[in-house]
Amino acid sequence: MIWLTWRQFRFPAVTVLAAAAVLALLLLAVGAPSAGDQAVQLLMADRTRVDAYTFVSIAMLLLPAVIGMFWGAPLVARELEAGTHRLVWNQSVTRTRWLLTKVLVIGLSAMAVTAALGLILTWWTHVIDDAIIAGADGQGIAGQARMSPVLYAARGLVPAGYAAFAFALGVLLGTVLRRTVPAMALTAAIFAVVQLIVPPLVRAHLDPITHTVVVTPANLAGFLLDGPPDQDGVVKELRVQSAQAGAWMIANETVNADGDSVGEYPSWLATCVQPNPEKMEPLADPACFKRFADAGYRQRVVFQPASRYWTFQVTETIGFTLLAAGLVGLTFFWVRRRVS
Amino acid sequence: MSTVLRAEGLGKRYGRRFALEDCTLEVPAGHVVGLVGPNGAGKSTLLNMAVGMLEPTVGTIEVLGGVPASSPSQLAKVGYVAQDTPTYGHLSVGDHLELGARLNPAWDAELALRRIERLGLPLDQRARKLSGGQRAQLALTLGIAKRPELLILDEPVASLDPLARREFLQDLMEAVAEQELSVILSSHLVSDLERTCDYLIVIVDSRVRLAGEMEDIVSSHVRLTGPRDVGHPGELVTARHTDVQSTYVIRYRGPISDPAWTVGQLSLEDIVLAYMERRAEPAPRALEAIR
Repeated sequence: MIWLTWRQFRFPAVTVLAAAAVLALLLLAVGAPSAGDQAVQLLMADRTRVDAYTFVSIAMLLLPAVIGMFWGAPLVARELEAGTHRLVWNQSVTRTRWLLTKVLVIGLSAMAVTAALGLILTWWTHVIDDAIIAGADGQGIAGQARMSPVLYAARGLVPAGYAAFAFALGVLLGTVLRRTVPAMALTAAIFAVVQLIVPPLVRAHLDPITHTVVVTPANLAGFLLDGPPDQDGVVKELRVQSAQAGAWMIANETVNADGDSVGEYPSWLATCVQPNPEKMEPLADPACFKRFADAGYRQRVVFQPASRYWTFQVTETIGFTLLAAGLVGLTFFWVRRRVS
Repeated sequence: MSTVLRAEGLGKRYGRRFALEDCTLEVPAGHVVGLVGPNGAGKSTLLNMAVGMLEPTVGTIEVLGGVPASSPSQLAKVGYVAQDTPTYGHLSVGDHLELGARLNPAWDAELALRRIERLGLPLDQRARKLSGGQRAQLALTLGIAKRPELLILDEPVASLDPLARREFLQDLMEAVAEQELSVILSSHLVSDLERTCDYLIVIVDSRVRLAGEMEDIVSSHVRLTGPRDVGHPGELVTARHTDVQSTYVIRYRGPISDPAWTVGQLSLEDIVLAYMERRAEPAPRALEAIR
């Protein structure tokens, strides 16, 4: 059975493995960013490394979907389309063993490839991750914390969980729809939706930390006006610095004395920050912010701290792997009962 | 002698329509069984249930004493050549033999190789590039070389030209003679089965109309022609009337001595066609009543 699995699977296997090898070699070729106090700044200035980092991260987000589409969806659907299931299911191997062998061999390969790449990328970025957790600032991808949803999904262990899930989803949809191409499309669509909704609907609610702080010129991080204060501009958004470096900021909102989120800021707040004619950085007026605090306004910050990174990664990988196992179970049921 | 296939009250329903209904059969071992009926009569449904590709909606089916496809040993006992003889287009002939060898414990590699050589199929040829007849032969080789006790073939020659059809069936008969296996073979053409089978099952409109040894069937059906509406002996298959006389196809064993009747012999094809005709019977009868 393993021979047949490999014989049928070797072309898609080699294709995806080659792509994965290219990603790994790309990271090795440009080399990991150099360590030091200025690690983040150095990376920001290094166009080649930033491009490689961006490219590999995006590829890692897509890789599970590709595996689901090209390894998962055709697994049963192609047999059903070509009628070859009637050939192979009538050899002296039960359908259950046929499916189990294929799902295990290919599913575990999918997890191994994505986990390996996820860990290679983790190794490549560890200098930057350490610097950001230690408080370094930066712009673009170089300044992003690995807890932020996009980078979170692109490295570490979770790509293996996503790959298992996407693969199992593809196998199930292919079995139910009995058509390869629609199954591929639906696999990609459902996987994309899951990728988008898991951070706000699941990860954000795993016991996040909430801090309610007084806004001061010292912790002010964002101050957005819709026009100059002398021309009736009002404040649209106010943000404070994240309480902990490297955290995933889920909410950063102003609340009033009752603890409700503020829709409109008082109009005088617009004058609290003035441009500084001498420096690039604007000037914030402490007295003005004291008046803001006295009026009962606070800033509520909700975040997942950087320290939970690996706990979340492992939990989520296990969760998605179990989900994949559930989908495989459904496929077994379907293959035994419904398919002919 | 033992039984290769036993069905009791077997039925398969799709939505509200029965593809096969109320099928009770007992097929003894050691026969080449022909399963004949018009397209869509339920032949494939029956065979698919016999190999476990379909689950019955009602009733039970037993093949060689076991539940179809229930275990590796059950699978090993039954060879199946599916309709349109599917093969893996991108795999070579040699790969298919390797597949058979890897997935069947009783695989007869020597037999498989000998057949492929005799058929002149190059081992490195991809199945996609084979002709329909060659593909059917490759599928048959896989079915035979796994050394089953029962070989089931679902319309194996339907898509072949007359020459390939004859070659395939001849080849099948040689294999049967060599290996002492039981065979169930379906076709919508009586002529395909006439030369090869010694047992016949006729399915029309999702019901089994007739099952028995070929010789019995041929010897127990006659055509009677005589005066109109005086009744007939035996079991009626079809009746046709003109103003003065009636023609019956009946199932009757025994001498017919009444001189009023002209007794005609029926070929196998006549008998099968008579059973197929029977489904259209109620309508003419109603017309007659009016007249």
